[in-house]
Amino acid sequence: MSVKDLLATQQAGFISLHEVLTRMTQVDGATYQEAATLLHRLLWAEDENARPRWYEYSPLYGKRVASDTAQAKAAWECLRQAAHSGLPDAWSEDEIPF
Amino acid sequence: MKYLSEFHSFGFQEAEIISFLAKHGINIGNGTALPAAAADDAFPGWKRIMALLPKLTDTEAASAFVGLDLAGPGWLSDGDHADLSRWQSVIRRAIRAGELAADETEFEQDGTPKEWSILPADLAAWCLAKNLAYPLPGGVELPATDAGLRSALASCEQERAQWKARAGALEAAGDQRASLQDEIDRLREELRTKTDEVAALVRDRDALKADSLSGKGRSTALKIIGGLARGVYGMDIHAERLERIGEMVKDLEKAGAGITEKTLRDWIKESATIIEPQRTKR
Repeated sequence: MSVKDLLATQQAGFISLHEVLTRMTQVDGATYQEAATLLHRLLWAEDENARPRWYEYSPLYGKRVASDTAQAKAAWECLRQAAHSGLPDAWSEDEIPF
Repeated sequence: MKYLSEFHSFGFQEAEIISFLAKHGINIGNGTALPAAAADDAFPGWKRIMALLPKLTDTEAASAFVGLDLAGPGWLSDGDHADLSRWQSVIRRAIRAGELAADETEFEQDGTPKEWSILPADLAAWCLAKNLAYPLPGGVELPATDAGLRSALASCEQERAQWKARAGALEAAGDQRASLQDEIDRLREELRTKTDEVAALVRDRDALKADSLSGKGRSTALKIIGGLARGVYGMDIHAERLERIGEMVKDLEKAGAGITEKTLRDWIKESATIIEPQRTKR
């Protein structure tokens, strides 16, 4: 198995929150904020054991279940923020590329 | 404050979130014909190999959805195990519900299926019905009929079979009920007959009871019979053989009180039990 194959395995099946919300906006022209609001409601209404789990993907660590409380909390914060404010800013000050 | 990079970092297992949203009527899956499968070279080698298998086990199918190479090096994390178990559960329940065609290949000791064998075409049809991305590379040739219709037809067939079985069970229960009703009627008739017989026997018994002598009256009657036999006919009522009993029977008959010799003998013999033997004169 090649290095590329292994890397692809790590990412296979992962879909980002941004991608999910973007696809939801394409369904019937909903806004990013509306999509986030609905997704938040649906996830929150579902039983904790039945709702899709949060995953975190990073180039360095690959795909991991966001089982850690802090990670899951950060993921929920992303969704809540989108429900309140819509599409997030592209970069934080720390992340502005040179 | 969260930034876009974090919206890219956090996410879901694609099949899970697509399925979850589809359950609520929101379709964010790709494509409308066969579930979207990326170009073959976008799949890892183990999936390209798995796609060559003529049949998949339920575990292999689950691993394809999760994206886990079970034959690969290293250990599975708890999260991987959880994902695999979750998809296995989804697949097995789909099989049991008749949504996904499969054959049992291994059994537990109690006879419950332990492993299932699934044709790639059936898995693809199920993916299509559930709006899931087919997890393996390569085109899967579906039957000429539309897969959605095929799935619906299979579902209808299964439902029909269930109703047919239920109707059969009800029919059998109806036959059994009729048979039991016949048996009840027969027993009821038998009970009526027996009740009539008992009533007749009670009547007979009461009549006999009314006819029979008992207590002091019976003793008196015996004394009269035994005394007449001894005094008038000179019978030794205690002897083994009763002399002149025939003559006594005839006389009774002449007097309009005819009885059988046996009856008379029985009464005389019984009278001998309460009348003492005569003492022989010396």
